[in-house]
Amino acid sequence: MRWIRFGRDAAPRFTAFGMLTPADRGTPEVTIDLPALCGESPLRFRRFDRYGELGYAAARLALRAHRSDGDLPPVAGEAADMDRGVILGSSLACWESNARHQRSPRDPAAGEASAATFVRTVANSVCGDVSIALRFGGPGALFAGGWTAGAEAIIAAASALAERRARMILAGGVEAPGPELRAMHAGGGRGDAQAGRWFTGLLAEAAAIAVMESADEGGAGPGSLRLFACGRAHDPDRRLSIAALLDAPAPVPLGTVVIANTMPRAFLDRAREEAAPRPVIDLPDRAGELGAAGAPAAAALADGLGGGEGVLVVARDIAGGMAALVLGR
Amino acid sequence: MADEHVAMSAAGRQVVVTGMGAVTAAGHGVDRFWRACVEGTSALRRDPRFATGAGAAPPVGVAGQTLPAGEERASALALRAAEEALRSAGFTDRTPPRGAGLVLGTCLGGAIAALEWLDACGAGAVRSPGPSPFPQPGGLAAPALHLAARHRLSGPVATVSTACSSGSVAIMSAADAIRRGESDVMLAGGVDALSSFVVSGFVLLRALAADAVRPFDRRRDGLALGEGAGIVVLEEAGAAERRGAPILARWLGGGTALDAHHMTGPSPGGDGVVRAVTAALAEARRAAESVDFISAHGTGTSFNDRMETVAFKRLFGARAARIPIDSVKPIVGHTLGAAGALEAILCVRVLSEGIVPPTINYGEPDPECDLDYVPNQARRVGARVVLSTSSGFAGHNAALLLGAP
Repeated sequence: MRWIRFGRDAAPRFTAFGMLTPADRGTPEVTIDLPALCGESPLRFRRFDRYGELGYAAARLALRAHRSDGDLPPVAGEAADMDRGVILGSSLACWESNARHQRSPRDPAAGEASAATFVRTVANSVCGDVSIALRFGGPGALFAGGWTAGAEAIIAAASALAERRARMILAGGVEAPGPELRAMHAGGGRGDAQAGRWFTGLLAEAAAIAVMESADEGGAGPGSLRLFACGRAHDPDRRLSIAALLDAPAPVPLGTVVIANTMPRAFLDRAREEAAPRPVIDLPDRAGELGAAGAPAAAALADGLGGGEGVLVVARDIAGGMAALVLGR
Repeated sequence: MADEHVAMSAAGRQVVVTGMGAVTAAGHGVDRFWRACVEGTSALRRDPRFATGAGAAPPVGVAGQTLPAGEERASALALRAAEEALRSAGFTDRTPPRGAGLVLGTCLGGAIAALEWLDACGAGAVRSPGPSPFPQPGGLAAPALHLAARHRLSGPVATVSTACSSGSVAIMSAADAIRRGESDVMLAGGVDALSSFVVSGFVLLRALAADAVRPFDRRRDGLALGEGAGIVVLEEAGAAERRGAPILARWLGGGTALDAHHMTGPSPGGDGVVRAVTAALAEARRAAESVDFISAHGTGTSFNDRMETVAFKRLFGARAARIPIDSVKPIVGHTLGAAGALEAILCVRVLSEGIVPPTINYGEPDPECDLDYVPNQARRVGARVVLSTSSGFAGHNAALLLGAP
C-alpha cells in the first residue's frame, strides 16, 4: 500500500463534526427527533427519505458545531457557493427507497409508484439533499464501495482541499439500512453462514459528517485535527497487518489505533499484540457497526482524545476494502 | 507488503490512457461502438420486456445479448469491457501489475440482483429464493468487486455513484489516484444494466422519448435508456512509456460540481456544468479557447439540452458556435453510469481518428439550441483537446478534458 502524505503545513483540517448514532445499543435506529435537533420545521424534512434525513441532519449539526450555519444562504435565491462541496460515502445508500420503488407496482402497502420515490433511488441523493438545502455547489461525489466508503470520501475531500478545488467540504458517511435490510445483511433472511461469521451485531443507522477545510483556511483553529496521511488497498485476504500500517508517515508519534469497523476476533487480538503498548479502540464494540459512517466517527473519536499524539484509523470492509487515515494535531 | 510513502506533491505526475474496452447495444468492443457512432447507426429497439402499462414498449439499447444467463448482468458487462481494455493496453495476460486499482461508476451496480431477491422473498412467489445476496454479490459495489477479484487488483478499489455522471467521476477519481501517487495503473469507467426498475422509473418521470431520440432538435421529447460498460486503463505516463504501452490520449484535467438546485431538474443557467468545466480547465491549465470538440451529455430531454447549450455559450462565448458538439445517446441510448465512460472512450477515438461522430435524428433546429451539433453526418476535425460533460440526478456534474498523445 502506498501512503499519501500531505505534509505538516498542507494537511487538511477537520474543524467540526456532526454525529448521529443510536444512543441505545439495543436500538439500531436513531430515535432522536431530527427536525427538533436541527431547530427546523418538520415540514422541511418531509422532502427527504430516511437516508436524506440522516445526511442533512448530520451536515447541519456539523455546520452548527463549526459555527457557520448562521452564514448559510437562504434555500432559494442565492447562487450556490462553488468553494463548498459535499463528498459522502455509504455502503447501503438509498436501499429503502430502492425497495419501495421495486415493490410499488404490486405491493399496495408500499404505496403507488411515484416519481418522487424514483428520484431517491440514486445513491447520491443524499449529496443532492445536502447540497440543495445548504447551497453548496462545489465538488461532489458519493462513494459506495462498502464500509470503507466514508474513509474514501474523506480521502477524496482531502485531495480536493489540498489542490485548492474547494475551501470547505462536508465529508463523511451515512447509513440508513432500515430493519429489513439490516436483518438480511446480518444473514437473518436466509441464515447466510458467511455473513453470520462476520456480523456480531446489527448494522446501525448512522451519519457522521465532518467539516473539512484546507490547511490555510482562516476559520480553522491551530489545534484542530488534521489528516497527515492516508492509504487504500484491496486486501480481501487481510494480509495488511496493523504493524505495517503503524509504519505510516506521521509527523507525530502514533499513540492510538482506532478500528472503525467490525473485525473478526482473531484479527483484533493480533492487532492489539502488534500495536502494544498503544491502546486499540474497537469502535464497533463501543458504538455498534456504523458501516461507512465508521471511519468519520472514528475521526470524531480521535478529535475527542486530545493530546499531542497521532491516531491511526483503520476502516475495513468484509469484501476486502481497506483504508487508513493518520490523524494528529 | 512493502509500504511506500508518496508526498501529495507527487501530484505533478502525468496520466495517460493506454487501453479501452466497451460493451454497448452496438456490440462488444470499442470498434463496434465507434463504427456505429461514426456511421450514425442507432442500436435502439423496442423491447417488450420493458413495456409498462398499456403503452408501447419504449426503445432501449440492449447490450451483450450473448451474455450467459444467470450471471449478474452489470458485473458481466463490466468484466467483458475490462478484459478488452487490459488486452488493448498490452497486458496480454489480463493481469495488471501489483498495486493496480479500480474506480467504477454506476447507478445501481449489482443492486438489482439484491432487489429481486428481496422482492422474491417478500412476495412469497418464490419458495426458495436462495441465500441472501449479501455481502456478495449484491449491492452497488458488486461489479467492482468482481473485477478486483478477476484481475487480482491490490490497489485502491472504489465504487462511485453520482447518477448519470458516475462514469466520468470514476475516471476523474482514478486519474486523481495516479496523480497523487497512490497507484501507477488504474482501471476506470462505468457500468449499468437495463432493468424494469429503471425503465419504470423513467416512465414515471415522463422522461422517455416516444420514438426517436433527438438531442438538441426542436422536436425532442425525451431520452432512451441503454445499458453497457466502458472501461479505460489509465497509467502514470512515465511507467507507461517505460513498458512501451500504446499511448492513446493524455489526461489533462477533470472537475465536478454540484448544481445545488433540484434533484432532477438541471440548473437552467447551466451553473453546475460551467463550474465543472471551469475546474477541469483549471486543473489542465488550459484556456477555454483550446477546446476543439465537446461530447455533450445530450440526453434529448428539453431541459438538459437547453441547459447545456446555455452553459457552453457562457464558457466559450461567441466561439461556442464554432465548436463541434455531439451526442451519441441516439446511437446506444443513455447508459446511465456507463455514459460518461463511453463518451470518454469516444473522445479518445475522436483524437486518434480525426473524425467527429454526428448527432443523428437532427431535423428541426431549436432557437434555444443554436450551436453546431454536427447534424447527421460525421465530420473530419483535427482535434487536439476534447471535452466530455455529464450531468446526473441530485445535481452532480462532471467534466473531463483529454488531449492528443
